[in-house]
Amino acid sequence: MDPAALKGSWAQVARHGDAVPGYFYAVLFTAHSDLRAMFPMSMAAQRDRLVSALGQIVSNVDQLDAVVPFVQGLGRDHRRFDVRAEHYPQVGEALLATLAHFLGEAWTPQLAEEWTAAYQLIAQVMVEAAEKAATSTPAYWTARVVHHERRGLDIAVLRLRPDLPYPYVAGQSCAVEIPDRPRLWRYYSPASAPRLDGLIELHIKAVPGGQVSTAIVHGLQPGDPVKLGAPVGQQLVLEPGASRDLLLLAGSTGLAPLKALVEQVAAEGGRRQVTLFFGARTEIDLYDLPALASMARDLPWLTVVPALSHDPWYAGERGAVGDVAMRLGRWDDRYVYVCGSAAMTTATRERLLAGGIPAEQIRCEDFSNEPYRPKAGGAVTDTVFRGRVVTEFEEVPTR
Amino acid sequence: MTGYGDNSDHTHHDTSGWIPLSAERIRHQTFRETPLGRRGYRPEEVHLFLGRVAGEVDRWTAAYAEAQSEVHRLRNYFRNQGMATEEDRAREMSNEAITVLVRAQAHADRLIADAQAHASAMQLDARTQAESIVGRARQEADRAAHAYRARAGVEYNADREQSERLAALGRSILAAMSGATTQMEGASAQMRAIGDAFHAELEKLTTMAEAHGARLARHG
Repeated sequence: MDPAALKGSWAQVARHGDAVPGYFYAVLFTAHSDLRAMFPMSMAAQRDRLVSALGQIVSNVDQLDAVVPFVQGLGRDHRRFDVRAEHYPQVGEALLATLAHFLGEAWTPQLAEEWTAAYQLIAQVMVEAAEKAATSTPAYWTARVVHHERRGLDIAVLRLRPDLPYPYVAGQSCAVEIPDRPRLWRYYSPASAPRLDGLIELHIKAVPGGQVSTAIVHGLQPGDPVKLGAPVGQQLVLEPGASRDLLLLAGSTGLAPLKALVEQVAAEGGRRQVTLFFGARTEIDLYDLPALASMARDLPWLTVVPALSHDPWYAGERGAVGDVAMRLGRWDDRYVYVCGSAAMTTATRERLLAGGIPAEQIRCEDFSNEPYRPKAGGAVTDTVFRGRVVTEFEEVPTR
Repeated sequence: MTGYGDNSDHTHHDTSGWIPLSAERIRHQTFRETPLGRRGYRPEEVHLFLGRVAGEVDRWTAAYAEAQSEVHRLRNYFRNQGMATEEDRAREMSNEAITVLVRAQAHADRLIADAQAHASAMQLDARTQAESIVGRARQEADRAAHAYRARAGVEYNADREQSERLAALGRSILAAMSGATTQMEGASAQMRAIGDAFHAELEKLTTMAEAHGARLARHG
C-alpha cells in the first residue's frame, strides 16, 4: 500500500465536505435500494460519521496497529445495525465510485488499486471482528418495557426486562433503539447496579427537539419492545479494589449511573463514605429525590444534597452543583464522578480543577478521544446537549 | 468428373483450417467420384443444387451487409447528433438517479432539522413560561402573606397566613392558565398549518420518487 497516495487523494476528496457522504449514500442506495432501510430517515448525522471514520482510518493507514482496534470496534458495533459480510463489497463499490467522481482526472488505475487493497483490508478486519464477537455475544439484546412513569415536566423513569441476561457493570451505558424511531440509537445508563431479577432502570429526559428522547418520554408504553446494544464505557465505572471515599456530582438524569455506583458501593459492603450532590433547575426537576432520601436514611455512609440552579425560592442549596459542592466541603482525598449534560460536565470539571482537585481524581465521560463522534453544531440535539446519558445525543458507536 | 478436391478438407470438417462457407465456395465445390459399381448422385443435379444454395447465400449475405451498414450509419448519426447510445443512456440514467437521490435526501434532512428546531424552540418556550408562571405566583403569594401580616397586627395567625399565601398562589396560576389556554388554541392552529405544509412537501417528494422510478422502469 502507498499511504501517501491514499492520504493525498482522501484530502483532495474531503475538501468537498458534505457533498462527499451525500454522493456516497446516493450511489449506494441507487445500486442497492434495500440498504436504505438500514439507515435513519434523516441522514444528517450519518454524513459526519462516514467521513470522520474514513478519515480516521485513512490518515492512520501507515500505522495499521493503531487503526486495527478502532476498525475492530466498528466491526463489532455494526452488528447491531444488521450489517453482514455481504454488505462490505457493496459499500466498497460505492466508495470507489465516490472517489472516482470527486477525483476526476486524478483517479488513475493505480490509485484505484491502492484504494481497493486498503478497503479490502479494512473490510476483512471488520468482518473478522464481527464474526468473533458473534461467537460470544448477541448483536443486540431485546427487552420489554415493564414500567414507564412520568416525573417532573420532562422526565420518564422506565424499567426494562431483557429477554436474555444483560451483562453490564454499574456506571456503564447502553445504546437503546425503540420501535417508533427505527435506526436511531441513543445511549442511556442503567440507574441501578445489576439486579437479581435482571431489570434495568433508565432515567430519560425529553430533550427539546430530540427525536428519540421525546418519543421515549411521551410515547413509549409498558409492553413495548426495545433493543439494547452491548454495554459500553469505562470512565464512570468503579475501579476494582479502590477504597477511597467518593464525591458524586449529578446534573438532572446524569444521576442514573451515579445512583448505580451508590448501589455498587452498598453491594461491596458500604466501606466508603459517599456524598452525592443532585443538581437540577427547579424543585420539580428533583425527579428522584424520594428514592435518594430513602437510601440516605438506610445507608449511614451516604449523604445526599439536592442543589437547584434556577429556583430562587428554594429553601435548600442554590447554585450550580459544582459550586455548591466546593462551598460545602473539602474533597481533596476523594474520587469525584461527574455526570450530566456536556455543558454541566465541562463547567463542573473546571470548577473542581480550580478548587484544587487533581485531574486524575476526576472521572467523567469524555468523548474528546472519540473519532467516530459527530462534529459539534450539527443537529439540534448536538447543539443543545451533547452529554451522554442525561440527554439525547448523537450516538457514539465505538469505544 | 476427375477433379479431386484440393479443398477436400472442408468437406471433412477439419476445424483447424476452417474458412467460412461463401457462395463462391459452394458454387465451386467438387466431390470425388464414387468407385465403379457403387451408386451415387448425378453430378449435374448436385451442381445445379449447389448453384441454388450459393444464390441463396449470396442474397442473405448482401441483406446482412446492408443491415450492418444501416446500424453503423444510425449509430454514427446518433453519436454525431449528440444522442445517447445504450451504454451512454444507462450511465446517464444512474447519474440522474444519484442526483435526484442526493437532492431528495438533502431536502428531507432540511425538513427534519427544521421540524426539530421548531419543536425545540416550542419546548424551550413552554419550559420558560412554566417557570415564569410559577415564579410570578410565588411572588404574589409572598406579597399576599406580607399584606396579611401588615393588617393582622395582634390577630396574626400562622395558619391564616399560609392560607392567604396558597390562595394567592392559586389565583395567580389559574389566571396564567386561562391565558395559556387561549395561547394554546393559537399554537395548535399554527401546528396544524405546519403539519399540512410538511405533508405537502412529503407528497412532492413521493411524487418525484415515483416519477423517477417509473422512468427508470421504462428505460429498463
